[in-house]
Amino acid sequence: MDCDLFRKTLNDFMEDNLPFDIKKAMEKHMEECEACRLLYEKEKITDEMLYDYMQAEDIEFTNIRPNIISSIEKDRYKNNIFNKVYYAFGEAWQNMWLQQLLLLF
Amino acid sequence: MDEDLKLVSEVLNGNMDSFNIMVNKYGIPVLRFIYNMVKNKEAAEDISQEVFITVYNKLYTYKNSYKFSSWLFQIARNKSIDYIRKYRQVYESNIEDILNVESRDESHEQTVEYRETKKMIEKFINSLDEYDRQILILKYSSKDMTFLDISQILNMNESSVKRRYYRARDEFKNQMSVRERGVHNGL
Repeated sequence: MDCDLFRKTLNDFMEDNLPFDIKKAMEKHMEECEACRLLYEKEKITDEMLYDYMQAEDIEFTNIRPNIISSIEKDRYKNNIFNKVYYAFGEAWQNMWLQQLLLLF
Repeated sequence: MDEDLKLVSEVLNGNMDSFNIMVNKYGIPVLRFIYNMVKNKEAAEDISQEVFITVYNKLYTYKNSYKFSSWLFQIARNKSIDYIRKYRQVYESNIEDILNVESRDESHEQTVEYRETKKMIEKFINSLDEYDRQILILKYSSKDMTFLDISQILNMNESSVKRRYYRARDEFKNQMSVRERGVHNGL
């Protein structure tokens, strides 16, 4: 592998989106070429900086789960015949109703 | 069957344990994503709660033609945008939300550098076009977010997402290089 191909393939390498043999060739090239290795390291640092920033680790979030669980209607999907019919056909029926309405105009 | 699809099907059959698992699995990634969008801790927590309540109430409308997580983040994105529009939020971290970084086991210089780097990244993210900003936030809020996922969440084609992502990333690298040169020259 030469430097030109290395540079063209670097984005896919960073995304771990390469076949095994190409990945190995990239790693081998980096062992031999300092300029390309530095290029890769710069990409890696960029990824790490942006990832660390987005993790917002200096923010102490409150556990939101208890509030969510206490706010939902727990029987909403309870296995009864009314719910089964409503959630299986409710939306389709609404769409049909809308279509009929549109046809009238 | 895909783990998420199994959870969806179980919740739709009335299994609350599966909904708990869903909230545990996606609670933090969704909170992080929303926090990065709105930059306010309380608002991020309130919006995240609303997201999961909506997910539960509308789960029967989810279609498995695309990933459950993409559907979930699409709801999170829409609710964050509603909040931003309503309050015309400027995306700057609220200083009271941030833990005291001095308490970390780091020297004063490291703390100063940490704050400056954070400020630089924040300034850069805020300078981006709205779609580019959302693409970077989605890409880096959780490690396994792919370009295809982002394209589904933003309803944009995958190649546009990639083009915008790499252009924004190149601009970030340029700004970093300028900053490094400034530090080396003692500016």
